[in-house]
Amino acid sequence: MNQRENFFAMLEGRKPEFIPNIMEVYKICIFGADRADQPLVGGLDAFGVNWVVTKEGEMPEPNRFMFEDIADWKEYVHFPDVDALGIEEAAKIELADVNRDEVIVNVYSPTGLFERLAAFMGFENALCSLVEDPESCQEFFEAFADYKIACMNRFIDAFQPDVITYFDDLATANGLFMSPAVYRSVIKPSHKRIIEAVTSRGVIFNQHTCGKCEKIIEDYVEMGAKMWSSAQVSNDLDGILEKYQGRLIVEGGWDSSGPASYNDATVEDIIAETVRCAKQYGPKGNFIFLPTLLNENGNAIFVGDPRLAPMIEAWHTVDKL
Amino acid sequence: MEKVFAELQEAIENGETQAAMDKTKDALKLGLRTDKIIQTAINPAFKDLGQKMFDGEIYVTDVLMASRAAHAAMYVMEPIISRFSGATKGIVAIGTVAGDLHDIGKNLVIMMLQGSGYTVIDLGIDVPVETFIDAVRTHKPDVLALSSLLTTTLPELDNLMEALVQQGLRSQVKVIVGGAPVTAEYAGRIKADAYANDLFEATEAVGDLVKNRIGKYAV
Ligand code: B12
Repeated sequence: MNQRENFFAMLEGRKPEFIPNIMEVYKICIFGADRADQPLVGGLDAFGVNWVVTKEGEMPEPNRFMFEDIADWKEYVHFPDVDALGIEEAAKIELADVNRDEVIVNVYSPTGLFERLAAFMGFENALCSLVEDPESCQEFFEAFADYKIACMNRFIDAFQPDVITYFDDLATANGLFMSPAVYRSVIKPSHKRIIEAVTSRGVIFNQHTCGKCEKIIEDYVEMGAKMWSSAQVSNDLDGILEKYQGRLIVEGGWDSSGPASYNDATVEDIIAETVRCAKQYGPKGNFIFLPTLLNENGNAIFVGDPRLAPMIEAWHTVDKL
Repeated sequence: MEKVFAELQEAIENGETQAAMDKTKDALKLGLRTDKIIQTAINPAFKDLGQKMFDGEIYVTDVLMASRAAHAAMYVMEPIISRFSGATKGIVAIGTVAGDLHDIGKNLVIMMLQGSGYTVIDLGIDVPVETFIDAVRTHKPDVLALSSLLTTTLPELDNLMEALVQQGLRSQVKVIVGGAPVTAEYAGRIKADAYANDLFEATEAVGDLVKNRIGKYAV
């Protein structure tokens, strides 16, 4: 089986021939997101939020908020014209050399409902708003979901992706930011519409949520997500892999705040973590390996690192199934 | 008297800002001392929240709302507290290290420390070593607190410890470190004085440090 055939075997709950890693299974597309969500090189996005790029990644400029009271959102939020974003052009550039028979085309859609709210008003204000003024939040999420859905449809037309990965970080290493009840009443209805817009067009929905979010994995699955990404070790990954066999592919596994992600992690540390992931999660069958290797220049996958080659070699050699 | 403490504690735990302010005013009207209010209503509120957070019963939103309410209570007491200088339990200078822009955890630690009666100097995010050093010289804090959420910025903690030694300041200030990738072992390796895992532990740990006690969180 090639990467593509193997992936679909996994997705359908059949026994894969091998356990993939994200570097090899996907053609990851980010140029659409560059136009619709967050500019890759920083600067103003289509909503007027300023993004700053750091070595480690990018984020909305800290402490510069568009509004602080969610009740005011309509005054400040102006939805971009999806026709004018240039998504078709982005797709053409990014898909120039893709071999669709071999790999899985995975289009990233970052800055989900909650993260967008936080991009406008900061994390603390956004979190407090969820509890203090849920009605205004819901209203905002509904409107933003309309925008996201329009973008998703464009992504699907232009990229013809197999998978769309939708990013919304809702948890810390210790638990969800908000109670499951708050998530379910304020965010979930709009989240559900986004998922259904994607799955109704035959595209696989991959939900990215960092941190310990296990209390709402069931919600994700129930709404139609077939994959969960960035699955971090603060969750009971063994239990989740087992419980959702044949229903959910779990992408992650790496202890991203642990010693194997320290700048000075040795090749031995990295191989040990790779082997741990392979042996612990591989046998379950519904797992894709997502390592987080970092150095003083940033994420190794993007900036390069001599430790990457031995890591991939270790992944290939170790027995996973 | 007990009733007003219980009500204030409840208002804080429920994140009710207005009620927290009202109850604090009531307590002051009854002639209760600010340190007594902090000890008997605000600290127990956070102790309780800490346990609930640990048990997974409450979430970041709840702690944020409670912190805001506690802040409001402190705001009411502020003019009185600052009239008795020396009423502060100690000075803490805190910042997120250079290259790192995460501040939710740091801000919670600040609110908690302020809520417990410490004077906190917030150096902000992306703070270079030199700024921490300057802060030690200018503000003479009892405790220097550093937050790092990225594994890539952990070396900044090492750099700061080195700089404190080089500048001859190490004996003047206690150092506590925290943030998701930081561990007690890491803190020990760089010869910090303490490590704490969350805002509640951080407050206890700072309490030990200002009193020169070797407590549970010493490394
Ligand atoms: C929210 C968040 C963000 C927000 C930050 C908003 C803000 N204003 O702070 C945004 C989206 C902007 C963001 C950006 C980035 N983030 Co971020 N982020 C998180 C997330 C989801 C939660 C962190 C958080 O706020 N937790 C809530 C608070 C309450 O908890 P806390 O910070 O741990 O603090 C508690 C304790 O640690 C302790 N504590 C904290 N500080 C101190 C200090 C002292 C002295 C003491 C005693 C205790 C203490 O007490 C606090 C209260 O209990 C984590 C995931 C995670 N697993 O933690 C990732 C995470 C930290 N981010 C990560 C990354 C990679 C990034 C980015 C590079 C890329 C990106 N696009 O996501 C950028 C970084 C930009 C930069 N240079 O800093 C990674 C780091 C990986 C690594 N190995 O380093 C994490 C772990 C997610 C992951 N992918 O694994 N992020």
